[in-house]
Amino acid sequence: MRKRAFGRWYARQFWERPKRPIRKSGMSERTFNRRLSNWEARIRYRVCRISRIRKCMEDFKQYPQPHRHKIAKFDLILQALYGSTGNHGAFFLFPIILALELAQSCTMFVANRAVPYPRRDVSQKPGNTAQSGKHPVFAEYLLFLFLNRDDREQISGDLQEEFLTSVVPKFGVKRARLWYWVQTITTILRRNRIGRWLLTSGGMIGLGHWLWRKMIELS
Amino acid sequence: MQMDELQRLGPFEELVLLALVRLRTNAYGVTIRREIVKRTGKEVSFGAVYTTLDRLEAKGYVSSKWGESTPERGGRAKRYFVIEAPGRRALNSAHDILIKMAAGVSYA
Repeated sequence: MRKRAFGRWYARQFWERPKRPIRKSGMSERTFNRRLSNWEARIRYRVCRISRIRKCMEDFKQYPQPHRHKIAKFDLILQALYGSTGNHGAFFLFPIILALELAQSCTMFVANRAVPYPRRDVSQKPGNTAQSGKHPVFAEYLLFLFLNRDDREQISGDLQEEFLTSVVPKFGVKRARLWYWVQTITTILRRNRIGRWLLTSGGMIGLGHWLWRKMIELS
Repeated sequence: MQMDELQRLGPFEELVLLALVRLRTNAYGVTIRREIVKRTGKEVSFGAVYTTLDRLEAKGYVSSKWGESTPERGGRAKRYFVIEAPGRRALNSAHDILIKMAAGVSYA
């Protein structure tokens, strides 16, 4: 079966709302009733599946921001696998589901161990504000990756506040995004231990000396 | 003691402490940086401000506490800084020395 055709078949089977069967001429009542009950069961199953995904989304809002995306990702993949394939599919996808369950458990374990910060108000998260999504998310991720826990909270918040309240109204979104990137890089260089080492003259001299030695060894 | 404190206070540290004095209770990263940029006209990065604040906190010149979160910060909490008595003393002694050195000198 071709890839696209398989995709359509898969979507029809599991994700599209099933069409109510029509009784055609010549169709026996018994056949029609069987198809009708089958259709009702599929509708019930679909509603149940959607409510499970919704519940999972509600649950993940309780976790701190850095872990939410991971938890949501694992949960949604799991729910989609369970929901779309049903019991028969779960048998074939057992190794994948097991691996995902393990990964999700690890993520939840780390999330539960996270030090409680002043908890964020869910109604105030970036997605709920009018000007959301304009700051570079990857830059924020770099800050999360390279800064310590205190700095993640305060510097990310400060950068976002300055970005929205001062830089965007003054220079526009494009230039403000560039400003955000420059601030991110300079902040990481100053606040990260390796970045600080590279910035200091000793670090640069040390690096130059090491490179010089390697060049001499090679030649 | 005063001389010892003065030796440990750099020019940027003085600027940050003066900004804290000016801002009083509303001193957190954004406002401190804005105050320095506004008064000196020089661009300063958040990294530099926080590195200096950490150093001053380690010396006991400033103290910090976590504050409230706002929507424009993406729900993240602010960290407010307050200047402490040793910080004020160090700032005063630095200021006095500068005034003494500048007294009676013509710059023209």
